[in-house]
Amino acid sequence: MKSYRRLRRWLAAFLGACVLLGVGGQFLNARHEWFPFYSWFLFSLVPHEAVAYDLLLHESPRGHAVPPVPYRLAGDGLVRSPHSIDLSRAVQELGRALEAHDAAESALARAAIERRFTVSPVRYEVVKLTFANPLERLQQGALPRSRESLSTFVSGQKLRPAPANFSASEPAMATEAPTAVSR
Amino acid sequence: MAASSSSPLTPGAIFRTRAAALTLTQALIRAFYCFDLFLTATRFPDFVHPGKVPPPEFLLWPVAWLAWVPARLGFAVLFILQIGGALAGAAACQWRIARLLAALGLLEWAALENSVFKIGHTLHLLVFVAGLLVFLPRGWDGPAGAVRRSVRERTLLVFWTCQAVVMLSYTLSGLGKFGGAFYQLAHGQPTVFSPDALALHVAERLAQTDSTSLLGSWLLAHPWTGWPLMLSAIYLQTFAFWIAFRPALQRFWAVGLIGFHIGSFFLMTINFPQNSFLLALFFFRSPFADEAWPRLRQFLSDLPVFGAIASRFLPEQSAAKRRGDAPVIPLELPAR
Repeated sequence: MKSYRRLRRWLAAFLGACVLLGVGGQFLNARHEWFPFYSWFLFSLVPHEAVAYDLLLHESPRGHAVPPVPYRLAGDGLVRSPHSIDLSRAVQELGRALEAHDAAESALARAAIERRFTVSPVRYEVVKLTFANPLERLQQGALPRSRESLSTFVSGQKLRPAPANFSASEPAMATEAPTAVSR
Repeated sequence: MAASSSSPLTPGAIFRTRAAALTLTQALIRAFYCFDLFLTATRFPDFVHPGKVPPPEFLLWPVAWLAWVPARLGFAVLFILQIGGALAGAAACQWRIARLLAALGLLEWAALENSVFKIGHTLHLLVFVAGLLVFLPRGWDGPAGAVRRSVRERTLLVFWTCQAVVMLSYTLSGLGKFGGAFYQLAHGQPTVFSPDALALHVAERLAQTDSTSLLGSWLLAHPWTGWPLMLSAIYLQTFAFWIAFRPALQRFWAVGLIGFHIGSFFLMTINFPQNSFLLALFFFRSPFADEAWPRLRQFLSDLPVFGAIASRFLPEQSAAKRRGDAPVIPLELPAR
């Protein structure tokens, strides 16, 4: 039956396209897929480095945070869904993009993060945390072996990183002139 | 409903088997559209408070048009399409236009929901299945004994392709793990085959989300228990597509993959309820598998990798029994 064989060819081609477009999108597209075709490469790489990036909130229209507050612990509803995996990934992507000096990727990640702030503007700092390994990090609590400041931003401003000009371990307002904030 | 696996495949038996398979297929397809309607109904509160249109840089192509229309109009169109499509699919899936609307509604919903920084994947398989079902032939829903052979076989073929695309997603995931393992091995890093691989994944995931899971703490305290779980998951995933050609194993494999999703949630709070539904719908009572659970010999000999080893030690089957055990997946046209 011609119709049957023709349909069978088309469906086989579709399955082949699922594989080609899925795998192709993973490596060729900035978002790692050509929706809705996906590679399904989930949890393929075992996390072994205990490097993580975090977002420290310094200042918002609601006041200064001394010491700066990790975004997950921000009170007063500053961050919408702070435990969301989407936000967590955006923070990690921002950190990686800053280290790789990838302006496009960091702008995208910043846009995703700043959409979560319930007030504006917010001054925040991106830091790189190094732990022993993921297991130790979780078992011993979040105590990094080292912390490095990557950059600071003010939400809502042009997507261009401001130079990091203070140490994250020092009180935020002690060494820096206040940033002009427009409401 | 399917013929016993021990009866010879006479033309009459083939016809009865295929007709029974078609009847079951028709019911399962209708169940899929009812599930689509159920899912849509669970989202009604979201339709009341749709939120803002995502920024243009995040809009996926099916909903890129939202950037060019007023937000209220855009959301109204989307929700009418989703609700209308789901209702049409559930009430009138015998018509291609209804199935097309249902597929379009699912595509738009999935695109809107995933127009965020990182795309989620809970709806992708639903979109593919709905898209494939658009290609059911005219008359697919008629009485099984009266449907023309070409319509019957094309219907079964489309259904089988839905099964195949579901299993293909798991196989790609499994192959990705092999690829990742080669990469990490070359760089002297732990791989998915390492004894503590699952524990590392769980630890990373719980740290990322700053959350706890029901079984996560216990696994982290006993990381070695994750090793057989991880190896089993990799085996089930990697050879999932093979199972599309082995009806005798489909029920077992679906149970295993649903178990994988259950474990994923209770260890890492990752939930894929839609996938669990599709696995149950397509494989717990596959039209191409015998009603009864397979005999042990057939089960073992059909297993990927281990089947070849097991076959060396199992007694030979008689020719009549081998014919009766032949799978009836619709990749070749039967005599009737």
